[in-house]
Formats: sequence, structure tokens, C-alpha cells
Amino acid sequence: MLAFIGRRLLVAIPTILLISVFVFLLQQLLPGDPILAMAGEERDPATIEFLREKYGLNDPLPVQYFKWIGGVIQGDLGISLRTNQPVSELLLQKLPVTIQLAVMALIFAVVIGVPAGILSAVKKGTVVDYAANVVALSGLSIPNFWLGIMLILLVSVKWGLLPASGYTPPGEDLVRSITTMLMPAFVLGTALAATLMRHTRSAMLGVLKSDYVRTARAKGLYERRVILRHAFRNALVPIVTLTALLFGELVAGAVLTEQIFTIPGFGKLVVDAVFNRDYAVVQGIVLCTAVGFIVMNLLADAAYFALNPRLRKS
Amino acid sequence: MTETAPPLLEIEGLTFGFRNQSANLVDGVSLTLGRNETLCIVGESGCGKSVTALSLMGLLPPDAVRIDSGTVTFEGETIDAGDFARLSRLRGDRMAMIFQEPMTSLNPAFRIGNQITEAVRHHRGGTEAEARERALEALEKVGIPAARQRLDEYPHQLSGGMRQRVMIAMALVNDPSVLIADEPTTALDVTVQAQILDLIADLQTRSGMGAILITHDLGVVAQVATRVAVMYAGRIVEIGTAQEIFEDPQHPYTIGLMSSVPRLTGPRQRLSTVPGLVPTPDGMPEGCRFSTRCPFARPTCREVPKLAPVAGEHHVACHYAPLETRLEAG
Ligand SMILES: Nc1ncnc2c1ncn2[C@@H]1O[C@H](COP(=O)(O)OP(=O)(O)OP(=O)(O)O)[C@@H](O)[C@H]1O
Ligand code: SF4
Ligand SMILES: [Mg+2]
Repeated sequence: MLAFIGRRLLVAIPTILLISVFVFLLQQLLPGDPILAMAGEERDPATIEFLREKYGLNDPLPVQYFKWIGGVIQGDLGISLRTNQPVSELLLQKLPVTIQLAVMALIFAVVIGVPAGILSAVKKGTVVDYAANVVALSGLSIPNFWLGIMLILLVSVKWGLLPASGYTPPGEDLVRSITTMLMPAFVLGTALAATLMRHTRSAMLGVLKSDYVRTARAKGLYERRVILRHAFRNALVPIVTLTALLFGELVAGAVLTEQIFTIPGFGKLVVDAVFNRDYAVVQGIVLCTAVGFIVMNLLADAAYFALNPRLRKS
Repeated sequence: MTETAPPLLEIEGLTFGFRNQSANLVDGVSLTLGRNETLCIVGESGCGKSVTALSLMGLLPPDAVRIDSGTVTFEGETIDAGDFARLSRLRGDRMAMIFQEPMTSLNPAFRIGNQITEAVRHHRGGTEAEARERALEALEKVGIPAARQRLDEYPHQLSGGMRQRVMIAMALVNDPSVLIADEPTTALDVTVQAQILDLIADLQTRSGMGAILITHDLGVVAQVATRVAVMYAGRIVEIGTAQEIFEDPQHPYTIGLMSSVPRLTGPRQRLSTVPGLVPTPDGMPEGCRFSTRCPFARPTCREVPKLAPVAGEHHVACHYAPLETRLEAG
């Protein structure tokens, strides 16, 4: 197990390095000279030269890169041009909000998508299957913002059941934190649920045809047990792997959902940073997302490993 | 088998097909199986041997198949062949089956022991520890070395032969009175084949279990069969004791099959000597289904030939049986 994860980590390191080079070069390619901006009106050549020297901008690019990455490793991602806060601090503030949203959305997605997928595979070709597929297709084709706005209008404005926007940290008031996040998580979760349902359905259809499912039936077991234990346990491997690939969809969806529900999370940070050309923040976000992606894949690998006895032998 | 004892298993007029096909996949199949008997079903690939076996277990896909008629009488209890729910209650308990594919028939995600105890506890109840003892006994009975250790292993840690033994142990763990073995040795090498067949025969003499053995391999048939049913395109074309079938084959199809196996003890042969192909369910000829390949086919063969007695238990479904008639006619 450890060796397996170790190997995956070894692959992850060059990936992260490559991404960091890309992020670094991005900064070089962006228009506008930050030193000119800093030097202000005077544009005194001596001051500019001093600042260039101070920030190491006269060094060759590779040297600059290593200085920068050295800082990144120590958690120094630079300063936000807009708020003057360290980028790392901003990220640490916003990240938990988005993680809470993502986790709750994933729970929704799993709770809706997996049973629906199992059901439509087992009832393949029946009304139940078609109905599930129609609902999934609508889930995929209804834009998040529309669903979000409709929910706000109905649940918050008309019925006054849930708050329409905002965020409460769970440490402050857990119940309020969860209820506030319920609608956004649902909106984000339904889109994922549709994808997850389709993954589950196709994985289950493959597994239900297998010989060991026939064996389980031949033992005389109840159909429920055959499906939930013998079939689903094996379908879980592709489902988990594919779920990890939903990470990109999750991040993209979170950005949008946070805008709709005005949640002060990562997504809001992204949008603000991009519109304000706050490059340091954008860089931090890209790096953070990339690392998140890699971590998700590692988790998926670990799960794959844990679910697959063939890999587990000592 | 004495005349007075009712057969263990009696199949009567089994007829079914897939919903999207007009011709019957299995057409009017009747078979009996006595205690301690081994009935071999032989026939080329695709002639309906496996689906016949699956239908006895109620394992055909209910949404894809239509059961037209037929009954299964098992230990005196008559069940409609379309009553999957009732048939499914027998399986794994009094009627067990092992499959053609030992490599893929065990669930890769669970330990061997667990896959066996599950069958025990479903039918017998009891604790996991009791079931485990029973599973251990079953593994030992089928000759698996270091059985206790195997209980905690996963299927991928076992060879094909060992996996098939596990399948047999799993099938036998509840002491079924009928074992259906669908080509249990095809995927295995010759020595393992012999061991598995010996094992089944040995278990039969010990418990009186009846076995239906489906095989391509006439060498195997010669070795273990008490009776033989020859199947062609979903019908039984000839049935009799092993001796009758081997020494006095009557149906042109059986004769074709046998022509490659001159002696009971000859080398193993695949059934591949009859020229032509088994008709598909969509292109099924009227009357005798063998007529497209039969050298003796006549206009009367457009009528379905009945399975009629020749001598003793020997029955043949051919308009020109017995052989003498045919030779005179042709
Ligand atoms: N699930 C299915 N759907 C459609 N047709 C099927 C299905 N299963 C089997 N058949 C068809 O039923 C016929 C009989 O198949 P069966 O597996 O019983 O043959 P068999 O005699 O066991 O052959 P083999 O010796 O190759 O195992 C074949 O024509 C096969 O194509
Ligand atoms: S009935 Fe006719 S076609 Fe069929 S096997 Fe006999 S002789 Fe041949
Ligand atoms: Mg078969």
C-alpha cells in the first residue's frame, strides 16, 4: 500500500513542478510591469533600478523561478495587489468555505446519483430507467444559475425557508452554517449527481453481466444482496475513480454557485482576482487548484487500491 | 435406478426462447435424472445446453426470455418452468450449479471463505463461525490443500483448477441432491480435468447425488456418463444409456459425432466432425432441425420427428430410425 502511494507521489511531484513553471511563466507573459506601477509617478530611473534589484527582477529567469518556488514552498505566495494581504492568508480564509460547499455538494451528488444509477441499471430498459435518464439529462442541461435563481425565488423569497445567500462558519453556528449552505450545495450537487448517475449506471451494467453475479444468484441469495453486495462492491472501483475526475467540474461549478449565492469563498476570490488583474492571487489559485486535483487523484488511487484485493497482496 | 423409485429430477416439455426471436431456443426437452446417476448432455456449441441448465436454476434473464411451457419436478415437487421465484428457492440449496468459466465465476472482491459461508448462512442460518467450519469441510472434501488458509485468500491468489474446486465446494456445501455442471473442466488442463471429474464421481458415490454434466468432450462422456442425451438445435435428438449411445448410435447427428471417436477409451475429441453449421434461431428449418445437414433427409423430414423408443431406454427422434430402415431406404 505505502509503496503504491509512494510511487504515485513520485509521479505527482514532477506534475506539480511542471504546473509551477507554467504558473511562473504566466506571470512573465502578462502585460504591464509591476515595478512601473510601484515606482509611481516619478519614474525615477534610480528608484526603478533599485526596485528591480530589490525584487530580483534583474536575475536570469531560472534564478527568479527558483527564488519564487522557494518562497512558495515556504508558503509565501506573494501579496495581493488589491487588498495588500498575503495571498496565502487569503487562500486559507476562503478555502474552507469552498471545501464545505464542495463536500456538501458531493454528499448530495452521491446520495442522489449512486442509488439512481443502481436503480436504472437494474431496471434497464424499463420506465424507471428512462425516467432516471430524463431526470439526469435535465440535471445536466439545466444551467446551475437558473436552478439557483429559481430555488432562491421559491425557497427563500416565497417560502422564506432558507437564507438566500451568505456564509456562516461552522465553528460559529453549525446548524446555521449547514442550512445556509444547503441550497448552494444542492444546486452544485445535482449537476454532479447526473454525471455520477451515468457512471454508476454503466459500471453496474457491466458488472451485472459478470459471471460472479450469476454465481451469487446461483447460491440462491436474495436479489437485493446480489446487487448491493456482489455487483455494487465491484462497480465501486470505476465509480470512485470517475468521481475523482469530477473534481474539475466541482471547482468550476463552485465558482459559479458562489457567485449566485454570494458566498465569500474560493470562487468569489477567483472572479475578483481575475477582474482586478490581481495576478499574485490568480497564481495562488491556479497552484492551489492543481494541488487539489493531484490530491484528489491520489485519494482516488488510494481508494482504488483499497477496493481492489488484487493490488493489496503483500 | 429401480423402477419404483421416482426420479430425483424430471423435466417435462421444456420450451422457451428469447422474446425477440420467433423460433424456440429450447423445444420440448424432457429429461429425467435418478439418484446417483450422471446424465451427460452433449452437442455442438450453441445448441442450447447451457440455457437448458440455466432454466432449471431459474437463472435465465427474466426480461429477455419467454418460457412457453414445461415443468420441473424436483424431489416430488412440480414447478412451472416459468416460475423463476420458486425455482430460485431450490438453487444453492438442493440444486447447485457450477459454471463453464472458473476464472471469472468467483467474486474478485471477497475472500473465498466469505463467499462460501454466505451460501451456508443464507440457507442454513447459524453463526459465521459454524458456517466457516462447514466451508472448511467443503474445501477439504474437494481436495484443496491448506484449506484453512485458503478461506482467507482472494480468488486471484488461486489457480484455475483451485478456483473450480472452490466453485465445486461452494456448490456442494449445502449437500444438494442435484449438481449441474456446465463444462466444468473445459477451461482447465487435462490432469486437472481428470481430478475434478474423479472428485465429482467420488462425491456422488458418497452421497447419492445426481449430476447433469454438460460437455463437448466425448472422452469425458465415455468416462463418467450413466446416460447420455444428445442435443441438437434446442431439441433432444437421441437419449439412452452410455452403452447404447456409444455402441449403437441411431440418429444421423449422433453418428456424425461418434465417427471421430471409434472407441470408448479413445483419445479425447471435440465435436466438430459433422459438416455444416447449427442453424441460428432465426433460420431454423421446419420439421427436423437437422435436415439442413442430414445426408438422409427426405420430404417427410419436414414433419417434426418424435422422440421414439428404439430398445430399452434408448430413444431417437428421426424419421428413418432405426438404422436398418435408413440403410434400406437410402
Ligand atoms: N443472453 C442471451 N441472449 C441472446 N441469445 C443467447 C443468450 N444466451 C445464449 N444465447 C443463444 O442461445 C443459444 C444456445 O446457447 P447455449 O449457451 O445454451 O449453447 P451451448 O450449447 O451451451 O454452447 P457451448 O457449448 O458453446 O457452451 C445460442 O445460439 C446463443 O447464441
Ligand atoms: S428426421 Fe430426417 S433430416 Fe432429421 S435426422 Fe432423421 S433423416 Fe435426417
Ligand atoms: Mg454452454
